[in-house]
Order: sequence, then structure tokens, then C-alpha cells
Amino acid sequence: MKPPSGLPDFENPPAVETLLGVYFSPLKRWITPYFGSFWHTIRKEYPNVQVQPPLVSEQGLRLELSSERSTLRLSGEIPVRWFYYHRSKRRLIQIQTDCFIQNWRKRDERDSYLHYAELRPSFEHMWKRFCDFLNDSKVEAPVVQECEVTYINHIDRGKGWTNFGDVNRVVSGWSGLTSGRFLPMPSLISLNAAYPMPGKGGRLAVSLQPGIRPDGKETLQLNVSARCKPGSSRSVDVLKALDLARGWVVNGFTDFTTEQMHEVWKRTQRRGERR
Amino acid sequence: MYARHARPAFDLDFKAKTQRRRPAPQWSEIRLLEEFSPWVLTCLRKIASFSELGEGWDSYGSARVQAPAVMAATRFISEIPLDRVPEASVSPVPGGGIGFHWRVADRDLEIEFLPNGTAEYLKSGGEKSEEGTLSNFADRNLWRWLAGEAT
Repeated sequence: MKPPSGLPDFENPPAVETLLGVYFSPLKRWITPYFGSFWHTIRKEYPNVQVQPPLVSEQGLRLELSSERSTLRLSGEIPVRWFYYHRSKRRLIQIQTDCFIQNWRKRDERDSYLHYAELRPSFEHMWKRFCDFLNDSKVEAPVVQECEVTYINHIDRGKGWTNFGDVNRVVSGWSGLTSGRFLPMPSLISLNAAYPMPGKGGRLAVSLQPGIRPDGKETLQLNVSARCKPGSSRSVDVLKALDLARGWVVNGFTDFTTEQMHEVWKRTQRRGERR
Repeated sequence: MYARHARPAFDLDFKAKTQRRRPAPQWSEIRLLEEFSPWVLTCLRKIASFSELGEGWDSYGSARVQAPAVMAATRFISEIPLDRVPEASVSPVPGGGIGFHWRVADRDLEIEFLPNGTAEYLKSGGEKSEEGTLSNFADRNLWRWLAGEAT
């Protein structure tokens, strides 16, 4: 199923992972055992969990140091993030006291690309289950601050580029030219760009970093991430904000990359066309 | 046993490379090139090029370099738990494996990935030598020895 959205589409896109996230004010009355209680409710589909460091420092923790007695006291909940792994090994939910994220990734190159239209209902379903759990546990409903859509793309060496002198073949805004002839070919290129989205402080962040995958393949990792504030914390507004963010990610990705690469990824819709 | 006051021949920084990054919501694993010593990329590209060698690449009828050896050598070189391990010399080995060699002062360390992807090491320095199987790529003792910090 493909989205009838009028957005650019690719038959063979380089996306290896997509994540949809909701960031909210730290949940009041949330306590650490709830991570396990929530797992109990989804364990059939998400049989494995892992505790990870939190994404950002949380405000519920206070650290008190006393030099005279050499004491260290922690108050509040220890900040953690829980990973809930789906049995398919393609899906993950991440929860901490101020965010809820769902990731989908390709396990290998044979895995087909999952379109947003297929991911959105799954996110909606799990977000509702999480909100229902909070309600049942008498935890205050999340006050949503931002929604995020991120696409992680791997542009493998040999598929449109072979060395860092070729990055201009991938990134439309990068010429790679120098004003003189002093500099040799770069041994590393890392790019970061941020673009404002209209209204309410939304932004699109794009980063390009070369790396090595666990299978040894050299790749350019292109992360395209949009964040924006929803009209309210209601699910309908959260989903609207995710739709807006997703539109920015797809259009931003297409604009940021060259038409030459669009050929490699088999773009199916040209500029100005609408389906 | 480690020599207490020995000064290592290269800088030993055992901080796990991935821990330096701030936690991110990304799930897919990747090692960013900025985390590697500069020679690692060259080495990785060399290893990848070994896959393209055909049968008899050494003019003596050697088997081609085998995929399990390439994959294990790639993983090994990108998982070396040190920041500043000196540059390795890497080459295909007759029979279908891949070999690494380091020389620091009078110490030589050779690691060979066999065609099936398993690894063996030989360390020699002065009149001593020791060989064994390398089962844990994150083992730091070999690097401590190569740096002259351990005996």
C-alpha cells in the first residue's frame, strides 16, 4: 500500500529506518515499575525488553552532593529509557517519562521498504494503548510538546558515490569546489543543516555522516528529521503533526538530494506531478 | 600481569567509542567514521577489495578470499577497542584468509582470519612468542601487550 499523498515517491529508496515520536512534559505520577507494568500489557507482541540510558536528562532527578560528609543522594526517579522489541525484530517502542517513540527498521536488504501509510496506523494503535495504560494507572495524560518523524537513509558506497569527492553527486547543495587548488580530496565529510518549518517553531534537521555498518558496508548515513508542535495533545492533533512532519521529511529529503540519486532510487513521481 | 610503570608505546584510550555519542532514538547500528582512527577506513576499503580477488590471485592457485573471513576481519577492525592503535598492515593470505600485522618496537602481532571467519593470533617479542585463538575482539590484553604496557 502506498500513500496517495502527492509526495515524491521512490521504488527503491535508501531508507533503512523510520521513527515516529511524541515528546511530552515529564509524566506526573509515573514511577519506574510502570515500565514493567506496561510491558505486561504488550508482552505478547513485544516479548523482549532492554533498559537504556535516557535520550535527554530528565527533570525529576535531583542530585545532592555534600563535601563534609561525603554523601551523595539521589532523589526522584532514576532516568531510564525502556526498549520494547517486537517479535518481528523489525519494530521497536522506546519509552521514557517524557517521550514515546516507535521505530521500524529493515533487518536486511531483502526487507521491503515500509511506507508511512503502513506505519501510521501501527503508531496510532500503540500510542492509544500507551495513553490507555496511563489512564488506567492514574498517571496524568501526556502534555505533548513536539512530534517527530525521522527517516534514516543509508546511501552505500558504490551506489552513486565512491569517495568523498563524489558527495556533490548525492547532496544537491554541496559543490565540493574550493576557491583554489590547495586542498586535496576530503578524507571525511559531515554535513548538518536545519530548516525552519512554518508556524510553532517546527524544524527540519538534515545530517549526513559517513559510517560503517555491522556488515562492513561503507555508507553515507543521511538522517532527515522533522519536529513540530501539535495543535493539542489529542491523538487527532498528534497525528496531524506527524503527517505534517512526514511531508517535510519526504520533500526535504528529495530537495536535499540530487536528481542523479533520484534516478538510482527510481523516483516514480516527478516535480509538479500529483497522483 | 602488567608492568606498573611501563610507558605505553601508543596512547591507550579504552573508552568505548559508542559511549561517547549521546543516546539517540536511532535503532539501526552504525559506526560513524569520525569515531575511527584515520587508517581504519583505508584498511576497510582494502579488506573490501580482497573480495574481488579471483581464484589463484597469488599465482600459486590459492582459493579466493572467503566471505566469512572478509566479514569477520571487517567487524574486527571496526571493533578494536582502542582509539589510537597504530596502523595495521593487512593482506590476503593464501588459502582464502586475511592477515593483519602490527610491529611496535620489538613486538610483532599477527592476526589471521581463516577462511571460515575464525581468528588466530601470534605475538612475538624478543625471544618469546605465544599463539592462540582470538575469540573476543574487545579483548584489550593484546593491545596492552603491543603497547608495551603488559608483559
